[in-house]
Amino acid sequence: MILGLAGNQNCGKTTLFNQLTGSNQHVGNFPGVTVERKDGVVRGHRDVTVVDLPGIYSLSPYSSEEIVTRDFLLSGRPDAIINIVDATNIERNLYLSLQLIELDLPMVIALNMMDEVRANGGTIRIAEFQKEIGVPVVPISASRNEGIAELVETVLETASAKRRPKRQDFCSGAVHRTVHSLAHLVEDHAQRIHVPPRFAATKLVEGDGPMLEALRLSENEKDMVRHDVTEMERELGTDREAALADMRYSFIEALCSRTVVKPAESKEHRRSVKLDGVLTDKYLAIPIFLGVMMLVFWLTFGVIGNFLSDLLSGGITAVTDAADGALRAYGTNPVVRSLVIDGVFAGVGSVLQFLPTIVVLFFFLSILEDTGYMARVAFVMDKLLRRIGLSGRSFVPMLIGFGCSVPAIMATRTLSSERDRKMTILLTPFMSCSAKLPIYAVFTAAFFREKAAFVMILLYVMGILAGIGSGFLMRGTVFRGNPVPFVMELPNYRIPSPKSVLLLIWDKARGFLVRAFTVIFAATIVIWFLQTFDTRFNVVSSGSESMLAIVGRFFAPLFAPLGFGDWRSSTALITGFTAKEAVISTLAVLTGTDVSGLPAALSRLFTPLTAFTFLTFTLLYTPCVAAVNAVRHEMNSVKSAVGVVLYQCGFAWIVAFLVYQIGRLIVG
Amino acid sequence: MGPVDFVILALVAALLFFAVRHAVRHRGDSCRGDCSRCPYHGNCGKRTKK
Repeated sequence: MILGLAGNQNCGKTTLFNQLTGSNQHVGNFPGVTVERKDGVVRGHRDVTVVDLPGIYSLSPYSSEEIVTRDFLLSGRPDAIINIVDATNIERNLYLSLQLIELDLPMVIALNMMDEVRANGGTIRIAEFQKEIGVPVVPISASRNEGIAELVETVLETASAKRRPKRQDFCSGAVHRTVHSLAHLVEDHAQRIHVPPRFAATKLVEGDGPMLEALRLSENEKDMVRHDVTEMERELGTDREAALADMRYSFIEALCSRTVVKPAESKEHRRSVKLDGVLTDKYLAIPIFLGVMMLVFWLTFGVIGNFLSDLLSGGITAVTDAADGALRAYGTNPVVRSLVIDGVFAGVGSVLQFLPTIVVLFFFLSILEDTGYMARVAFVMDKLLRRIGLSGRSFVPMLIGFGCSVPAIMATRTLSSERDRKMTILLTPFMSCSAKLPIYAVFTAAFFREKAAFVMILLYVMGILAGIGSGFLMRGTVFRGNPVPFVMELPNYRIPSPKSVLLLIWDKARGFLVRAFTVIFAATIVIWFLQTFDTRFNVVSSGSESMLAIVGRFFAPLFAPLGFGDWRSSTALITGFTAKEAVISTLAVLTGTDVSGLPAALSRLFTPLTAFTFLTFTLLYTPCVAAVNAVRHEMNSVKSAVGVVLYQCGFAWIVAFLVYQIGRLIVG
Repeated sequence: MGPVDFVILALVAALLFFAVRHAVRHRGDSCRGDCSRCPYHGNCGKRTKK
């Protein structure tokens, strides 16, 4: 027996799935798409499998998730549907329920989060609700494992008896007449493709292209469909989609008024509504967001993060000096001493000093996330993102990209349409990741100390503008078309949880430290080796005679037009492909300095203008190999990954060239 | 080069070996990004059948 578990996002579907199946789960993909599919065997019923379908809001064919769910329910014909409904947001959840009922499959509604409804003083008259909607209804609380046994019993009984919904007709008036007329018209066609005639009729009224194509109506029949729908629109004075939505919501409203005793609106909700009046205001929302981000950056780079990084840098310098002293005292070989001090300590230390900066930045970002503010920002950004052909849903992966491009690229799986997903993957690397922070911090400390926070903000804004520019370009070329409609939950504002903030900071710090002592450590050793020995493995007296210099000089002419044609800067950029932090550790090793001496060493390699050009190039050029691999994996294409690298390097070179040349004109 | 030099070289070589081994072994694991919003949160490091 196969059961399909369907419902909106964030209604507790995964929690229910886990309660039903325990650890008997199998994760895969729906064929042909990157939408994840989870199957599980129901505990205590070895012959019953439940399929966790993607969270959706309707059965329209806009997104991969909706198409996949619809195809599964129509073609797969599960023995029953478990429709999980969030009882605290019952009106919105029931919109999908009515469409599922039209599929004419045995179905049970699981009313979830009933514990919260009761705690807020509300209740639902289950027997009356069940009678009106025509399918069995079971109240549950998935998180507390309440009602699950009863749900399983009801579903199995409904599926075994093949008990179809007792009613499917929720409409009246013009919509009712049109749907019935079309259901009769397309009955034979619908039965041929094993689709319930009423479901096919409502989809035709909605203007569902794939359904129209699948039914293979004659031209005459298509004309009749057009005529009936036009008449309905004229009679109601509204378009077809609004007419159907009105019909469904009218039924839902009437049903809820008779059977749902609403809880008193919580004070958290009232507070959230008041705050949203300001924070999502048409004119104030974006200035407020920019102000908040500027404050975060100022506190991170101008005050707290800087102070703590300087402290740590002092500590690392002290440890390095102590190690150097000890090695000299033991009379160690100069090359071995150089490996330890100029290689390991200088390279890894130059990156480690930025741990506090990264931790402080993510401390503030996680507070903003935990309060619920970032969900509002995604909503506010929707209008802006639509101008470049994306929806507000793309904002979340892009925001993650400010941390690391890899999870950001993976997070695009939550996007509705394949077009939006690919475009977001290509634009996300423009969001400057936290691995580049050490580069920005060292250069701003060396060249723009008084205006460090301003330069940081400028770089992030440039990255965003570069993403927007690329978005416009892509929208007019490879990604023509419009983004899908955007629906999202706005949780109540709340005090951030100290535990989740601390967990995030710990996770970030641990990841940074692991990376520093693995990837950066290995890259540092390799760089030290290549710059200490020549091609005959003799120790060189000057780095410019080393193996690394030969490689660096090969690429250096590429960067001469950008103002930093020195082989050391080009070599550093190349090592940045392994991990962006490696740019700093490479520069430290190649300039023969330690943590504290790096800013002074850089001022011998760069001028303020060429330093800013270098930063511009670093901001925009290829992401690290891990991010490129994530692109390859998510786009399922090596060509796409190579394309991303070439596009970003080319884009970075052009912008850096313009910055340098225009800067020369201004500065002289 | 004295015994201390060889000890130091051996130590660095061992650390390098373990660093590379860790990076290679865990290359498919957590990207050490922001897990809280990641759709794969809780599944990193698990090898699942396709």
